[in-house]
Amino acid sequence: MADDKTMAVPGGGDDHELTAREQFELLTDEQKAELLGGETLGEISEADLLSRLSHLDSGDVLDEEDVKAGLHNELQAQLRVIDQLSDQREEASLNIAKVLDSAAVNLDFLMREQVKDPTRTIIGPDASAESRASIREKISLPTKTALKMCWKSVLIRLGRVAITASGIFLGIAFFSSVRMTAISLQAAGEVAGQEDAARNVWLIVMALMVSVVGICNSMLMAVTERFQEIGTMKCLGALDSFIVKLFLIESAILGGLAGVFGSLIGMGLMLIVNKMKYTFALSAVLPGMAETALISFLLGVILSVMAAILPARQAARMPAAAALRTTV
Amino acid sequence: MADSQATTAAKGDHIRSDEYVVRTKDLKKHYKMGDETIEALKGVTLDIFRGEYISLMGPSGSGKSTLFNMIGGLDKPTEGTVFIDEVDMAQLDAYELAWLRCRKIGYIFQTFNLIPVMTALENITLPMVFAGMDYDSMMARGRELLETVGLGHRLHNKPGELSGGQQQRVAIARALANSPSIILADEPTGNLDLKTGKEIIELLRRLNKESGVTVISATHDLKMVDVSDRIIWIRDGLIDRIQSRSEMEEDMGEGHGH
Ligand SMILES: Nc1ncnc2c1ncn2[C@@H]1O[C@H](COP(=O)(O)OP(=O)(O)OP(=O)(O)O)[C@@H](O)[C@H]1O
Ligand SMILES: [Mg+2]
Repeated sequence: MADDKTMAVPGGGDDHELTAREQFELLTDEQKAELLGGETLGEISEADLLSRLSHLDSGDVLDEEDVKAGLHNELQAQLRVIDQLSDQREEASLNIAKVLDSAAVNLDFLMREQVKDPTRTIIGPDASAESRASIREKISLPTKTALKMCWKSVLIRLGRVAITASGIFLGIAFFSSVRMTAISLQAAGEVAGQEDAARNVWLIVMALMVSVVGICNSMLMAVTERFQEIGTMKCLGALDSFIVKLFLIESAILGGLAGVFGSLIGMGLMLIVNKMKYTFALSAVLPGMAETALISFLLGVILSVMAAILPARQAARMPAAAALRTTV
Repeated sequence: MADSQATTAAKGDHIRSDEYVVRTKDLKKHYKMGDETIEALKGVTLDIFRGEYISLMGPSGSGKSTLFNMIGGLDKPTEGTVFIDEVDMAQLDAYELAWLRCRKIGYIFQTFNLIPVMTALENITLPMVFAGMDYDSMMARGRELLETVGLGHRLHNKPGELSGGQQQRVAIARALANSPSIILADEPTGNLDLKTGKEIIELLRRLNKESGVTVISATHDLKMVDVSDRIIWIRDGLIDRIQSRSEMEEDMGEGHGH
């Protein structure tokens, strides 16, 4: 409707320049009928038409004001809509600001948490791969320290260690004595019987195997005895591999000592016996004796380490919680 | 810093921040014994603040040691989670777990658990060896810690040459070796006489106040009540109630009134 009126009054300000007839043409049919009052347009003079138009004008003017008011209202309504929209936009942008703020606070919080909490960035699934990998190097038991620890431990438990090592000690003493006899015979220019040699090898192998089983058994008992000590070490940060390392080193020390002493005793006794039976120079047997001592030492170490593999693995499987147990 | 500590101490308040150092969520532990299953923990949810002194109390068999094992990463829960410094323990591999035990947690046991063949100083430096500390700093720190627990003169004695109370002091010094966030103690006074037990409790409380280390102690010992910030009562594998310091004081007040 508002549109109609606007179209019907093209250039509202040019009214006066229109002729009466032209103005008449612009009227609606209803207005035309009212104006004519039953007469035809031809019957009405120009002046009369003008006066009648001016009568009608008041209505026309009213009408125009109506239009203006309508337009004004329309404008107001649209302004209000715009206001509302901008209100909503303001609200929306406020909301966005709020969301951003809280996100920033959260982020800040998280970052502070990370700074406060070195653990989180060092270990666990949140930590970087490098950090997790470097943990492997951060926990360590240097071999030198382990050797020192085991050496002290062996010295302190010497009586106990001597019993554990007695099997390998006797086996190696026997091995050394047999070798000493062979060396002495060679030095004296005598020939050893073939049968004797074969039987001796058999006896030596048996003796050493028995001593390996003996060490294994003693070490297994040591593991059950030391459950609390092993659990405690794990509580202090020991890895399974540390426990294995300590047990193997302890066993190696024990085997090495048993090898050297067994060899010295075995060779010493046989040296005295053979010296009485045969004639040979001491210098002739010394290189052979040194060789035998070295072989004995290595044999002792290797055999006891072999014997300790099973017990060491069992020790490593001991849970850290064993530290709290008071009975086996 | 010193000022604020002095004032908090004066108020008889604990030093505590709003961070959690230990959190457990619906922790359950079942032990299978042949056909029957023992439910040692039935769903324990617990938040412990950094710097708190907590006592776990409850009758024998209620699950205190089991909870100690779970928090200390010594055993895996059947269900539920333990967070240490917000890290889920179940997510850690063997190396990380060892690292955590070495650097983050110090353990104290009823039976002291010193390595019998090592001297006091060697016992204390063992966790530092595992942590890769160099020899000189290790010795210096070891001596300093032994001084702190009042055993500066017994550096080279073996555990067998020390009294129970002295052994427990060495154990406390060892627990502090790598400056942990938490000290976990399972009945630390269980094998000690009244007086020595009291000294050990006072030592733990002093260290808690001085270094801000969180102390969590499972105990039957009612002497612990006086020093605890909170007491967590455990019954049949569940938290029965949690008493804060002020509540305890109210209880005591009422007790005196009647
Ligand atoms: N390794 C285990 N195997 C089987 N059952 C266990 C084991 N450890 C604990 N339990 C059982 O779990 C329950 C809780 O034991 P826990 O040692 O936690 O009690 P506690 O509160 O420490 O007792 P106490 O004050 O006597 O030390 C008990 O019924 C106990 O028998
Ligand atoms: Mg217990």
